Amino acid sequence: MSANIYPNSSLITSVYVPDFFDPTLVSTSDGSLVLNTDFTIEQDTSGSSSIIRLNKVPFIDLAMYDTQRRNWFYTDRFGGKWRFYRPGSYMIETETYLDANTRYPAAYSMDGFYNGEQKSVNDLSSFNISEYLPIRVKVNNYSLADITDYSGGQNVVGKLDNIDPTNNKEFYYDFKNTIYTNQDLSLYEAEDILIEFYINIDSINISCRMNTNITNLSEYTPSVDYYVVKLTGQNL
Amino acid sequence: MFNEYDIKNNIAGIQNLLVTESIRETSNLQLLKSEEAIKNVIESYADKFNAVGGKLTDITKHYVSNKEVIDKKQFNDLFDSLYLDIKTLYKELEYVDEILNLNLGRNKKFFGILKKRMRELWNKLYLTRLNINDSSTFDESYFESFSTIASQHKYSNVLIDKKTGMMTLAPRKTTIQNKKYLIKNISSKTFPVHNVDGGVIHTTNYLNSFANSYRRDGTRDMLENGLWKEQVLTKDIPEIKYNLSESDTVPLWMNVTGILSLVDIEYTYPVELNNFDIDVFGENTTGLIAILYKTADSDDWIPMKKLVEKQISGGLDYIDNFKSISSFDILNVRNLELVKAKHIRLVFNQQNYELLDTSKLNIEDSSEKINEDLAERRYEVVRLDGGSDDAPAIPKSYDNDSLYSKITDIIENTKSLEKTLNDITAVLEPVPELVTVDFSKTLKYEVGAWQIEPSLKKYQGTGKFDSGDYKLTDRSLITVNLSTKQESLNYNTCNWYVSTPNNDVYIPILENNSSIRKEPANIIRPKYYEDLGWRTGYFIQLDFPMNPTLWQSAKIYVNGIATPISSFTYYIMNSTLLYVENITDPYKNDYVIQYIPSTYQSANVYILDRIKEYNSADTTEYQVVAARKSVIKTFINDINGIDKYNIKKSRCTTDEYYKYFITGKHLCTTQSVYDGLSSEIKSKFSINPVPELRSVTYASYLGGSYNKDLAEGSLASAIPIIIERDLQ
Repeated sequence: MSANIYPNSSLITSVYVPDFFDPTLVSTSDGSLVLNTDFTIEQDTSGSSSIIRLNKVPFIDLAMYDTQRRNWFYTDRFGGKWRFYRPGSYMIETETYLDANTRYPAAYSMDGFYNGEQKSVNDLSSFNISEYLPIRVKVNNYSLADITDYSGGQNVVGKLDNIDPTNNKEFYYDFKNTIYTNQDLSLYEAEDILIEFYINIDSINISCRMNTNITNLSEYTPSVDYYVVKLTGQNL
Repeated sequence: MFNEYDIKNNIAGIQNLLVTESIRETSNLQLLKSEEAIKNVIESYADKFNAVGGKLTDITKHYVSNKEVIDKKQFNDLFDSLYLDIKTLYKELEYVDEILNLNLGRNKKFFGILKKRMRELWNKLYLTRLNINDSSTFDESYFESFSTIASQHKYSNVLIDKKTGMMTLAPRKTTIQNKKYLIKNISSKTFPVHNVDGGVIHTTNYLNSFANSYRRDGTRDMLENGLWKEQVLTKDIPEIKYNLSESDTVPLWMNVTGILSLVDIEYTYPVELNNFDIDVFGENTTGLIAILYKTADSDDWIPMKKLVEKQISGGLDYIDNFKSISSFDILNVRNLELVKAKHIRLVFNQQNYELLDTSKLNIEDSSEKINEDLAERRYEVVRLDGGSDDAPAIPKSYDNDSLYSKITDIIENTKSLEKTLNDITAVLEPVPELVTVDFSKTLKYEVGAWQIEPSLKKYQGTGKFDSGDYKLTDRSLITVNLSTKQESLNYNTCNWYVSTPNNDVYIPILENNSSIRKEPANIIRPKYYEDLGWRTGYFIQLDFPMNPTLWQSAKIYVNGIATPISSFTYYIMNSTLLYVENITDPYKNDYVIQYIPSTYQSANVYILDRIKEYNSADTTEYQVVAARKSVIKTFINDINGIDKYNIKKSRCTTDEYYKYFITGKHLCTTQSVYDGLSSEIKSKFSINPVPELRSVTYASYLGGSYNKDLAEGSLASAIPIIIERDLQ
């Protein structure tokens, strides 16, 4: 496993916030999408209820993102790094890539239990995807996890038409607030649909602790004239 | 004959006509019109007294037979009437005075608002400048100047002074040293001195002088609630060289440009001081260039000293003379070295001036002067305990009676009625000083203060401030950066943290890209290490990983005294955990540690923090660290018997990170923990066992091996232990 060193997290004068807290999966107690008001389902141009609109932008961890391919590394339950591909549509080339500013050969990069191995989307339900998967849709407990926006935007919707929705349940995520699926979600019971994602932290607090540090010499105080907080977000 | 003396035609009548019309009708305490009303009243007094020619009645009317014999009853009635007149005058003065006081208060409030707005604008300008000069990118920035209402903030034991725009520890004791009973005398002198021939003209109103307020029967409250003001007109910019101490033995020569004003406060007995708040008067920035004091009358003036933080090297706080500061609103001087002072000398310098042009040659005409004085003059309250036309009221308050006493002084000490009335008129109507300047270039300097508040402040030991929410909308928040303007002494600390809403974790952050961290030592005694023999000293857990190449520059302050870390017997267990053998009683002494964090070479790791049950026989302590929280979660799920735990975040250096997680390893733990794991777990997880850290000193006692790398002062890179500082 390579070092988890983000350009910003190593700069402790600029705190890298998302990595510090444990992302919370958002779901209702019974896993019902209907009960979760953070989502709405919309119909696509064909009239199928296949578009999920998220009312909050999920948090996306760029550290696990391949910006060149607009593709994600996943980690398995033991922290092993993975990259998924969809059979017949996209193959990952065995070439070097950059990860956390370090160049590794592709085969070596897949360190861990499945070193160098690439998994088909169809095998996804066989093990747990780690918390670094930024978003996950489960239908009938079947994980739909291909979140690659192969060509981005609305084109993806057209692409979905060519996929067998029965044998290849998939969704595509635009990395903002829209998920495109090849499923007609109106066909499922509400309790069979579960959407999980990381809460996007959109606000923080600044805290200051002042101490005299000398119990018997308390006539001197630190003072603060002002402070400036600068927040930086990320773009994909 | 008595009937000829009509009380309604004398002073009271005239007053009723003029005062009632001009004040009661025009103003009727309508504040917006009060200035005009008062101006009318005051001008009317002059007209009124001129109209009566200084005579209320013709004394010849009371003659009985010749100049030597007058009607006793009539004469007594006359004086009863005069008494009534004067008392009525006082009563009307009360109305005038009320309005004047309201006016003064309103003006002060108005100035306060103006100053506050200026400060806010200044802050915004400053923020703009910060942003312009900042090459780093950011999506949103928030500026907290502590000068506006910020109700969403939570804080305790800190003082957010909106007036000065400062956050400090909250005083647990404040003794204001400007009460009238403390003051023996106050005087001021301003240079260059008044010299008409030399082109220096002082136009300061006597009512704005300390000498007037602190005379024996004065209000004696100008420090608290008055307006001290010095106004000087000059031909050229003054260049002054002055010996502030006025002593040849301990001279304190000062060269200044502009005018120099010295305010000398003499206390009735020595008082303790370490703080000054001065509410500055005037349109321009005023400088406070020195504060001197004397403990006894016969002493020489000595400059007060300010404790200043000294960077990196040096053991004690750097003590320096108070440095000049300037402000257009509040001059706030904190952290002066505490002194016991019988005399205080405040040295003001005003370098800014207004250039008067030729159209203002006759710079002070009557109405302008009256207007100005109305705005700034200190009027005193004359209070009357009710009363009526038939039973004149008596002034009941002698606390603020200087105007009253001035008038009674005139009545009692002046035999001529005409002179009495003229003198009263002169008191009531500010006498304008008509100044005609015959050169075109005139510089007007002003210096003054609405309030001067010396004080003794003692502060709470610990204060905390938690801001409201700072939001970044529509985007995933990635980084937070913090810039501050702050000041602390060597043994004081002021540290910052970032937290997320609904999250109790405080992430330490270094402000201003600082390279040095100074924090109260988080002293702990982890059982794991105690079991290994580390039990004579204490551990210090750091907020940040220490730079492994610069740890020798670390210092430990014991009760405020800085000592290089090399003076201690210490072991660096890892970059965030220090063992110091010389710390023996952390509960009686105050410890602060200063070190250089590993700023650009740190990584985040997660630690298993097992919560032991009370009286549990199981004392196994899992020393487990992982790069991912999920890995520790999986590990815990696969190991029976761990049901109470926390997963906490820590930081380490990148070197340590690579030691913990050599290629293919997901977990790192101690050899003893590793040995105790089942083969199933060992095969399932890729675990990197690291040697135990035993103390060199106690190796023989334990009878086991020890890590020879752990020489005193060396960095061992042991597995991090818990540790988030408890900031709640």
